[in-house]
Amino acid sequence: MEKAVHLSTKAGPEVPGEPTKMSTSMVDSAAAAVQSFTPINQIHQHLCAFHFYAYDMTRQVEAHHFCGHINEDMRQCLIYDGPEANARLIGLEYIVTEKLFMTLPDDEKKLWHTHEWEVKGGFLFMPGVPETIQRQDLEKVAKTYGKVYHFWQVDLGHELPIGLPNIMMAVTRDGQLYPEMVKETEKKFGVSIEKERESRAYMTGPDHGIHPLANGGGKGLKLEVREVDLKPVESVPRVFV
Amino acid sequence: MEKAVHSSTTSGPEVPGEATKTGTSIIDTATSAVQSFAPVNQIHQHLCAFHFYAHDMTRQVEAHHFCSHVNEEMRQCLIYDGPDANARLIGLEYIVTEKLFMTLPDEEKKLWHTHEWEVKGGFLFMPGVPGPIQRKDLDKVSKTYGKVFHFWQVDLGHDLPIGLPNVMMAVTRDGQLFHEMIQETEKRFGVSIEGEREARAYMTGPELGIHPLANGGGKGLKLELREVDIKPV
Repeated sequence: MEKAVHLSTKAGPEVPGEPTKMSTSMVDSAAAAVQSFTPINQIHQHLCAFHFYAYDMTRQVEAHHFCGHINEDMRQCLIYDGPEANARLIGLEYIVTEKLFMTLPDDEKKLWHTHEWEVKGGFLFMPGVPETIQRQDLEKVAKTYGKVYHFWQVDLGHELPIGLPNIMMAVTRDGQLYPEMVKETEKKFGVSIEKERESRAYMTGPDHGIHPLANGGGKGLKLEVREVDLKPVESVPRVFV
Repeated sequence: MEKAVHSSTTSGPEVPGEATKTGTSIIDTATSAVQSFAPVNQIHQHLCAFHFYAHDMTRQVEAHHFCSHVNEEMRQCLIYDGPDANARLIGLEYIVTEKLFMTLPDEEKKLWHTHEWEVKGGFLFMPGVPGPIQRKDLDKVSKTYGKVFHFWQVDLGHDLPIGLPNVMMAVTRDGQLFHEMIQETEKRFGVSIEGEREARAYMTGPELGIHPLANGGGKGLKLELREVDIKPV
């Protein structure tokens, strides 16, 4: 199978359907005027990085993360396939410090990946933010672990989010990402990954080193769906108020 | 196993870790001053509804959706376990019209659920929005299909998002949701589900009726993990 790469919302097929009607937008505006979107307002950061599928490194996707801190040790990020208004919501990522990662059960750890190489290699950056400010945060990110799922296989040209979630992974050494994909991203965002790499040489990864069970534990990971007996509501004694 | 219910961010265990430091907040403020969050700014709607696990209806979760339109036929929603600043991101949902649903491959359809009963039953509502305005949109929503995954088993008291994603489903008839959970939600948001149900009696579901392959096709669905050979670059 030839490689599959997805670089931005524009590069994918259009989601079928009419553009949003004026009347729909008006109802949306009316609702938005009275509602608050507090959890969304916590989002304070836009990070661009690359993910590949946990069972197929030839499929690589540019991933735009919009992140907020739950607390100092954990972030939760929405992933879109571009930074524009019409971007598709393609996944999400949880990011935790090494401290929290070490509390995870061993069979959970393989679903998480390290950020050290992505950050030190210069492949993860914050569009629009001066490098010196970026680095103040990225030096922390370099020590973290992330858990990513994608739900929309935009690199296969899917118009709709079909299929099961896909566990995604991030780069752990040089030579994994397609150079032409990386070059295009550099051009689009006016960044130099080489230069960033030099500036970030001082950064260090997790204090205890990269955990051997992380990053798939070296294996490919794929999800499957199983049909099972559905446990009915009636199986629980009901309490009526 | 006793039933597991999660009603809001305040009722779950705290995410372990220190509170966000001032230094971190300052950097966040600096970056958000220069960056734009256009995709996230499209979010125009907050919907509250209930999901249960596709393999276990005794596990029910109040789900706060923050939705935007991709176009007239499709919405994408982020799901949090509450409407507050410290809410956990627990899932996401895609919502499509019947027209788009019918274009899905048959084996895909079972991962999607219908919204007719949720909407007509009054269980899905937009906190803070007057009934007549809500209904203008919910009228459309009741004809749609949704695909939901949750990633954080807050109803089991997990303090971190461990485990595999879970396919989730929504109610398709009365008597499925736990009474006391509903009452608590009604109280917290000052809504009356009964009242809304009456007001929404005029609404209709998908024009071609509920597709037999949707809603798990009547079966429970569970995801499993397989270790495979990784295809190298």
